[in-house]
Amino acid sequence: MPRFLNFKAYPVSFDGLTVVPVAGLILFGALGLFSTAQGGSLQSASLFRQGIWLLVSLVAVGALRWVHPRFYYQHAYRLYAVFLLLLVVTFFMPAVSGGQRWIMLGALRLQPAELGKIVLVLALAKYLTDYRKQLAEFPYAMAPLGIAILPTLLIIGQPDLGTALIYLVVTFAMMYWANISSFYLFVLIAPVVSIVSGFEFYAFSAWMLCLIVVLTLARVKLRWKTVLFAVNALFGTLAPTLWNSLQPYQQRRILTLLDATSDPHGAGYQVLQSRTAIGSGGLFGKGLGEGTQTQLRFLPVTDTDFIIAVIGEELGFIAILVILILFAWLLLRLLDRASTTQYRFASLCVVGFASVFLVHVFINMGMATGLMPVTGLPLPFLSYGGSFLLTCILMIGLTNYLLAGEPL
Amino acid sequence: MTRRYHMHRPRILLVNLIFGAMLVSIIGKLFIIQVTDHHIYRQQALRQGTEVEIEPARRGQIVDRNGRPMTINVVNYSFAADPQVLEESQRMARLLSAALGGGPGKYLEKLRSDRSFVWLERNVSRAAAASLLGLNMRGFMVRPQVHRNYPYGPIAGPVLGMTDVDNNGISGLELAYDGYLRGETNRLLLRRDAKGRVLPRPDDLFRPPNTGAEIQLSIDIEYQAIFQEEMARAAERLGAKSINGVLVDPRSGEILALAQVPSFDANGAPAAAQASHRPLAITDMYEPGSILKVVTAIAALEEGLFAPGDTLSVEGGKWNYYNLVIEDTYPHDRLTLAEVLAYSSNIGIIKVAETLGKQTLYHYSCQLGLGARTGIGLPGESPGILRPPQQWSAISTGEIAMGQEIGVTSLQMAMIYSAIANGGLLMKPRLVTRIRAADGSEELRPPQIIRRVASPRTMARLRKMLKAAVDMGTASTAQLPGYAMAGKTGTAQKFVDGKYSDTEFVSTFAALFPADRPRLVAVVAVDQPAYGSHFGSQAAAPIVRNTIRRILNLEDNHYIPPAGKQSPASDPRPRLALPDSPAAAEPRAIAGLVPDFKGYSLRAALKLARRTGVDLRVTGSGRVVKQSLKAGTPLQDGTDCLLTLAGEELAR
Repeated sequence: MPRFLNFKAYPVSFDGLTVVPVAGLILFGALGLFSTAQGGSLQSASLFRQGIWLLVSLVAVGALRWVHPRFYYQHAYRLYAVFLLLLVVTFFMPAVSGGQRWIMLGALRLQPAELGKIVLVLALAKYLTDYRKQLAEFPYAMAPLGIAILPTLLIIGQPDLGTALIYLVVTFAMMYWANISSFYLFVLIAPVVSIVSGFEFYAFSAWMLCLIVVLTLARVKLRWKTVLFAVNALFGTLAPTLWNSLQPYQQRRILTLLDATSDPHGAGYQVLQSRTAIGSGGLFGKGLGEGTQTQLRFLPVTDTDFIIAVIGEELGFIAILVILILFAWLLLRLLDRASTTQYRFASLCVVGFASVFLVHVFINMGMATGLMPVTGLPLPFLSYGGSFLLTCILMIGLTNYLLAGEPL
Repeated sequence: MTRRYHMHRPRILLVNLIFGAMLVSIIGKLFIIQVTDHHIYRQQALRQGTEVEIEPARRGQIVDRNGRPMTINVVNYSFAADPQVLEESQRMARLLSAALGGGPGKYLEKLRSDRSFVWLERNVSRAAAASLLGLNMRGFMVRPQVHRNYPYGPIAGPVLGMTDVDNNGISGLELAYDGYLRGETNRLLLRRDAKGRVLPRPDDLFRPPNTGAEIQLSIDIEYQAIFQEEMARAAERLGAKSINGVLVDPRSGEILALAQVPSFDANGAPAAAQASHRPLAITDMYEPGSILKVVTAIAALEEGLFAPGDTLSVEGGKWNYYNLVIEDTYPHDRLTLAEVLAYSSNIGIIKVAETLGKQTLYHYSCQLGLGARTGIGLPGESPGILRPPQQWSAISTGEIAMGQEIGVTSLQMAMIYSAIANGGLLMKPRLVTRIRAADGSEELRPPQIIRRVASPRTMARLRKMLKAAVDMGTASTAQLPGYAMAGKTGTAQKFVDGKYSDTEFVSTFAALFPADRPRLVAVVAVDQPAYGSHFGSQAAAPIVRNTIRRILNLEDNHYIPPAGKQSPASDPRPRLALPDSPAAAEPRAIAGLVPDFKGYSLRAALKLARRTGVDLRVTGSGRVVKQSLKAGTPLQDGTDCLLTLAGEELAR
């Protein structure tokens, strides 16, 4: 019998300072769903379904008490393999609203990419724990990218750009937390900046200057410095040339992919309506169920990605402020716990989870307020969506279980 | 527990700072949207969520004196598109050009616009639009619009005027009475959802569609048609530039017809392309010529300077008036005042005018309404030209007496001749008799007397003189066998390039019918008839004669009795008793005059008496057969009118 299935419940005390903001956020989510469910026959089922998912999630977290805290560390790679397999399986599933993201088991729809966030964090944390001594060497330091890139490419193929972005950002955050050299991380980021700045002469010049300064100060062989500079300069100069050689319709397609706002009748309309809804709510909102933009369906899809627009319209700025304070509380508490533990694996996992939350919150809110391009990411604990709610609650549960595990 | 994870403190701090900065930036953005710019978004939401539905009022109808509609509201279709949304613009343009004619290029150009709303075609009839109505394309819009149509086309076209594409009156009665006709546009504030579905709200009051008021005219469409047709026939015969004229009921000042050729058909070609959309009888003035001689005659008789039988020398038909040689068409040595009018002697009338003096002539001209608008209430009315005596030259008195050096409209002349016909009252022309609002309430426009201009005796004498002009004078071409007509012709030289032309004339004719108790006054002006048939007697008089003959043949015309059977005892039936004439059914009550009670029931007579302020005494029962005060005479205080009533059969 494997060690983790010994039917022994591990004594874990839940951290109240983590649970309180989560409970508050779930409550707000219920209010928002309750409001969107009003009148609309389609969405009235969503409140009920979300309740079921919440119950399932809580039961799942409770059930994890019987799993040994070190199980996650020991089996991280195996979980990772299963996750990759499930991602491949999605490509054999029928497409739903233009994407193959779900595994359908009868009435149950599971989105592996959501739970995959946890698995990826576990796998990365294991690698960064196991090889902490070798991380000073460049190839070892770059290996986490290799772990992340496989699922990322599969998810881009689904296509789900938002989630793919999360994977990359989380990987980067964990590498930073694992104390990988700043210079290595800089080398990682540099080509992206080169490509983007390549379209603006002055920005590109400034960036090249900055690059030269950093490379001069860096303690690496001159040969590598030359190669790095050449690569970045090439990227920066080639990118606009390549872009201009594209047909206008190809350019448009790429732009729409990167920023859905550029399609004024699709997502652009959503953003416009979302901003109008939030703005018209004002300081105190119009009252629950009284939001005209929401209730008259000017905001077409309210309960998933734009739930904050509903809350902003009906409950106002004060309510969103409270929600953001709850998020800040949760995230800072997670960071605090990650920085006070001596268990490296758990610390890395918690930082990974926290960055998943943060990116979701920032992109979702930024999108609803027009600060960010539309990438279609849900808001943790508030948006409708079973897999994502399960993932979020599991992350909170795992934070507690992992930190309870003794240091290796 | 107090020992920190082995990481560098700066990294922990930096990660915390990044987390915090991201959250704060979102709060900042939210603050701008929700607090600073809140009002903008609130407005935006309000605009989206409410829809102002404009329910266009149904434009009121214009009907003639017998209630026949002269206007129709038809539903036309306008087509618009959002070029940003419309995908198959090539196909759209092809379909449009196939249905509406014209090349597809015209529509393609509109569809290439970068605006998000373009009108493709407006006001297309249902028949022409049929193939496009069922079309369901994204970005293509069909808007039904109520459009005005005029069933009689050019008949009375310039009087009715027209509306623009948005159904606003822009000329004629449509403009003058736009406020009554248009009705009130209902603005309903509705709640609307994102799909444009209108949501019922309990606080929306039901309001019935608002229809504009119905305007009833004094015009009789049949008279109008006859008059206009005769003008058209004459215009062809004479090669005239234009003809216009008025038919008036002199007793009430009601305009029965106001016609012209060329006319204007608001249904047809664009207004700009048509010759005349002005009602010429109101808007265009001319020098009237001899028909104005009555002004001098009225003044002379009223002032007691001449009697109809007084003779004066007319110098054998040729006379030097200052340095101007005056010639008469029919030379005589001596003529009575009556004969001066009958033979239209220029020399005679100048001598009479010189006897009167320019102040008196000017005074009577003003009294008779010259140089002032009649107040008919149509846009663009001309006051004509009557200069004050200070500006007159030595020969002006004579020129004006002959009807030159003065500008008049046909309507002004018709009102002067109406005053002759009705015994000396200058009436305000009455075109609109009643305005009936959609709720049934009515606003009556009763006849209005402007002033008394001469005594009934003077006018009776003048009628006799004008009858002589038709019976044996210049206007003999207007004679209708079996009927007595009174009238005066005029042939005025047009003032061209600084002098009076010898080839271009305005031919005029003014008539009273029947001569001794006129019920109709007609004035016709023919602009530039071909030389040779340019005399008023040749050009204008036959139009009036033919028109009146045809009016007499109209079946429903009861009120013009044959002249031969006319006697004071058999007074024609009052027009107000006509059952098929709603406008006429309105009792003719002129304040200050004794009304004609004959044929009335007691109840109706009492009502009429109350309106006019006549005190009544009554004997007998049935209908009024006799009244002690003569109808049409001015009221005197303290005098009762004794009505004798008799049984039904006696009244017949």
